[in-house]
Amino acid sequence: MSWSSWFGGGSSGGSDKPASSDAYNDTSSFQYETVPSIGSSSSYGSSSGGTAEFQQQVQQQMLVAELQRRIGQLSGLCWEKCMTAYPKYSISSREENCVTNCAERYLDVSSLIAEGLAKKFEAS
Amino acid sequence: SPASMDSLSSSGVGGGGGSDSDKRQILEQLQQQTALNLIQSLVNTSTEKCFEKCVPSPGGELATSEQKCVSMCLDRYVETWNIVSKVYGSRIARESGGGGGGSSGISFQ
Repeated sequence: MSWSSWFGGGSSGGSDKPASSDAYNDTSSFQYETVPSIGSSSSYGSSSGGTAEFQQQVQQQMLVAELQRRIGQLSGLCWEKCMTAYPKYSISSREENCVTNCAERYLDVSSLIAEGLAKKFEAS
Repeated sequence: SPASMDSLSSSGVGGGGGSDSDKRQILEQLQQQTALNLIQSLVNTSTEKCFEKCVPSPGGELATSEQKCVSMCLDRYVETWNIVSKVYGSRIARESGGGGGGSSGISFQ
């Protein structure tokens, strides 16, 4: 499936792009990146092993789906926190740092919570 | 909530294991469903965020400035998504014991 066909190579119609924008470096085109441990979509075409491999592939796909869900959720959250200004032609470095920090700190909190809860379940 | 998997065709996989093509078909359908869910979520979230940002006082129609705002807002939201996705990718790479740097790995075509 080609992502670029859904989102195009740049901003959707109507906005004037600054002359200096480079189409190949267009960060507003949808770059769907995923985790290194999960194979590319074409890997499912190879000859299958047994049921175990199939189950593993299904599980992997479910993991990808869950990951996407979380990224979407966190994107919304960090948008609220960081992208408070009126939308401009490009994201500022302040905003970019804010979003990065937002996501990193959220994941830190997530780890702490997981550890904390694990301890509580152990204790009980 | 994740889209239901009801659209998956039922093939005889439950018993002694389906054919290779059955398995491939199921995996492809799973991938398609995942992709659809992603797009749906992006549409929903960016519509909501950009409506909030760009149309503070809904009138009888969308002003040109509001339309322009929505277009830019969408770009900014996708950029935000990309940044968050990269952070996730790096974090997972790091935590899976990979000694690698910040690259989030594979990009889908």
